Amino acid sequence: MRILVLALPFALVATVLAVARRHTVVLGIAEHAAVVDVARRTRLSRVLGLLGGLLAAGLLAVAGGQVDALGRVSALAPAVLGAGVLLGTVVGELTGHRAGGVRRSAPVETRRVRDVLPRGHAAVLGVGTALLVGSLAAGTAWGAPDDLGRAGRYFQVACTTVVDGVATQYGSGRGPFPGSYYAVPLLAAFAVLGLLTLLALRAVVRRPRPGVESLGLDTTLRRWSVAAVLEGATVAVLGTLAPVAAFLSSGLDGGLCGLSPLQAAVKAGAGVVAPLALVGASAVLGVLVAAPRLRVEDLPRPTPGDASSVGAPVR
Amino acid sequence: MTLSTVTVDVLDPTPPYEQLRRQLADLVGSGVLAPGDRLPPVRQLAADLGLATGTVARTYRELEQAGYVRSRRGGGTRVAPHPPAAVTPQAALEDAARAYLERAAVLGVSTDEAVSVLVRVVGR
Repeated sequence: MRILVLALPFALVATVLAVARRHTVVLGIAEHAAVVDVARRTRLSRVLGLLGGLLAAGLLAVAGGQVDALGRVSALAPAVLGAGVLLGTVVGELTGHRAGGVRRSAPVETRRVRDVLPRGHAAVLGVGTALLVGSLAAGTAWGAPDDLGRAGRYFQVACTTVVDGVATQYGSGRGPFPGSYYAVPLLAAFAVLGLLTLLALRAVVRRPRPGVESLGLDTTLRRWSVAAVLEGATVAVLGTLAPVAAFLSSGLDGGLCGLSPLQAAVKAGAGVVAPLALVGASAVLGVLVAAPRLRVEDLPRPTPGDASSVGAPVR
Repeated sequence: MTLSTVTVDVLDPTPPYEQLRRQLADLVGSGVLAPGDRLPPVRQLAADLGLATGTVARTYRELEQAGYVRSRRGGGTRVAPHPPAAVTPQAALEDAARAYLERAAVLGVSTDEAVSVLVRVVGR
């Protein structure tokens, strides 16, 4: 865990950098009113979801120890944070827009998630998920019962070594270790989170178009929403991967027996992945907090060709 | 990319499913939608237009019966490989003109007056 503490300043810098790079699209006061309304609703809902997720995750992290002193409840905090973002997105998209009016138009198109999927976000989420599942699978495969018989909480080794010419049985155990004791509830939580992610992506794509005159802007808005969904899931995955990898790395200790080549490689890899995951989770959380937004100018823009812009200063 | 659009006027005496059917048939007949092109899912188009899913489903059913599209479970609705003979722009316009005059009649406007409104709008 020391490595995670050392990575904290880098995580903070990553968050600040992500917030500082916020992207804003500026619109005129009367432009794309329906899309602006959708953007406000979806953003408000997502921010509320994020705040709710942060609050619930904080409560779990702090009070979870009272329910389960061995950290199984507290370990779910990042997943709960991600779930808050996803739920906020689903609610925002489902209540975002309803077609109305006498004349209603719609494009003849088939909207698909892959058309608005940011490849970079998807790649980071995919790699993070693979590493988390791999770490939990390795932990489950190598986990052993602890001194009180709780399966999958320790890493144990046993071997026969020669000490002063005498063959001696040697054994040691080390924990906490991300074996089945932690992996089962975590994988169950992430299965639910995966379904929630799919539901959120579907909600983003299925949200009705607010008008055919704003197709491009609406597509941009959907791309931002899909990015936020992937970021919510990524924060949950990387936020869980960091401690899992840290405990995997520290738990894999062979003592006098040594480790197999595969275990040694996993130990080294997990030692690198843990701080990277923490910094990554912090950066993605920063990106999520500073999500791109639409800003509406409070004064009308001067029309092209105007000699002077009376009442609407050029900025 | 320019997307084709369909429009439904809820005050038009022509039922929404028929308005949709005409426009989609025109798009297929005039080649804007090519054989194999996928039509929007029923729920998506219904939500975009604020219509009941049954209305759009009826449009698709009628288009399928007329041979314009093919529906396949899990594969969506696609333009048929050999849709009916192309609708000429002239015929499509005549259809639209007929719909316009029907609407005028419902509003109690005579044919002559409807034509003069059209001329006035064109002159603007």
